[in-house]
Amino acid sequence: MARELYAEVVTAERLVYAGPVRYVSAPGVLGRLGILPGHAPLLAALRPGELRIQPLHGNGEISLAVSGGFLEVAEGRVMVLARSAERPEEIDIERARRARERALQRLRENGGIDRARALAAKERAEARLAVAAKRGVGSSSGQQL
Amino acid sequence: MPNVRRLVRRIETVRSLAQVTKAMELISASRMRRAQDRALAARPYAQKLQQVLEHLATAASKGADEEIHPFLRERPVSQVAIVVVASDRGLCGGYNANVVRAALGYEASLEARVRYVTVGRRAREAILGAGGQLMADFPGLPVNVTLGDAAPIARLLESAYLAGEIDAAAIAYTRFVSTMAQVPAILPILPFGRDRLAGDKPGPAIPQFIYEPEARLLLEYLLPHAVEIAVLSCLLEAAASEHSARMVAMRNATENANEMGRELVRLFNRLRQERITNEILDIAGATEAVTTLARQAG
Repeated sequence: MARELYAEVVTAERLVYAGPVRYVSAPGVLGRLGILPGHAPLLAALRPGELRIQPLHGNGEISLAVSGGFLEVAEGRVMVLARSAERPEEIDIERARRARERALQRLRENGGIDRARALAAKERAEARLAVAAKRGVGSSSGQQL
Repeated sequence: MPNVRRLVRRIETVRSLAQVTKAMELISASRMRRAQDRALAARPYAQKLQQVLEHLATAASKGADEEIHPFLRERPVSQVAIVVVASDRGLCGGYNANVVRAALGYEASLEARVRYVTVGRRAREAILGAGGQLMADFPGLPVNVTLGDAAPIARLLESAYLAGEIDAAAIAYTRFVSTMAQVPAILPILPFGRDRLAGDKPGPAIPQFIYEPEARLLLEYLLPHAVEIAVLSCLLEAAASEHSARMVAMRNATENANEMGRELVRLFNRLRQERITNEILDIAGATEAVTTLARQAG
């Protein structure tokens, strides 16, 4: 297990990314996690947010909007199990905006039962919007810099 | 000849029927490919999740036994929910009937009060017809099954389970083997079988993991999601099976219709030939009569 790191991002519907990487930066529930080669074994829960991957080849950075999930580091592999993971160009900005509005609305009106759900929806929408803002910065094609 | 005219109409009917079933076959074939792809694409995630879950269950079970997560805790079973995944529509061979039979068979094997959660109108009708009790019903599966279709079912089971309304839940669905073979199956969902998690084995040598947050909390995050994914994989398998079953049923129907069409055409040709022969005989007879008359007159 030399200084190598192999990353895989899977969702329930498909394999989103697989390949050797320099680093992975993930939104952990307790704070952002940076994974470099040689990282200690780790199992962490993720919150909705931006997952950044720098592939070993090329000098771009891949940015994905994840809506929660899990991350496991073991034996030079990072495995991200995400509820959903979208590349910037796959994100429906309009829909995310509307989702954020709806969530904010609900948070204003209703302090009770659905608060947690509305908060989660807001976080998911904001993660999507943040990642979508990177559109065209050569993210997925890895042509940045 | 009313008989011939009726025959012609029948031939036309059979032909257009074959066209319809052929079209349905092609639609099902394309849906089947998509559904099969999705079912296969979902497998790695389910497997990985299972691994993580086993790992966590082992790590978390090092604590006191009473702290075990309710989803993992077995309790005496007196009330069971069975989810039956079938279709809104027929015309798919034994697909609906087989899965319903499996569910009823499973009920018979239990000594508990059973309530059903049906997916698809056919499931609902069949369960009600068999005197089963409904807990909830969902519409049939869309062409593209997503997590959004599985989540409400999973949530329903979870909340009923946590509220003590049910002590166990299982899914009756149709496992996809190949285009020609789909097998009805029962998958227990809750409690999330400890046997399934191999929690009793002395934990495999887990390297010194860091848990963020601690293992027990992680398990709390993970289990509801795992239930959801278990439901989702059943739905995906069911969708692949349904479209395969429908494709095969429609292909058989098309073949039968074509065969019937060929037979009717053969019958039609025979009738037509018979008529022609009769007409020729008539003409020949008439000519004969005329010449005889002419000869006599002459």
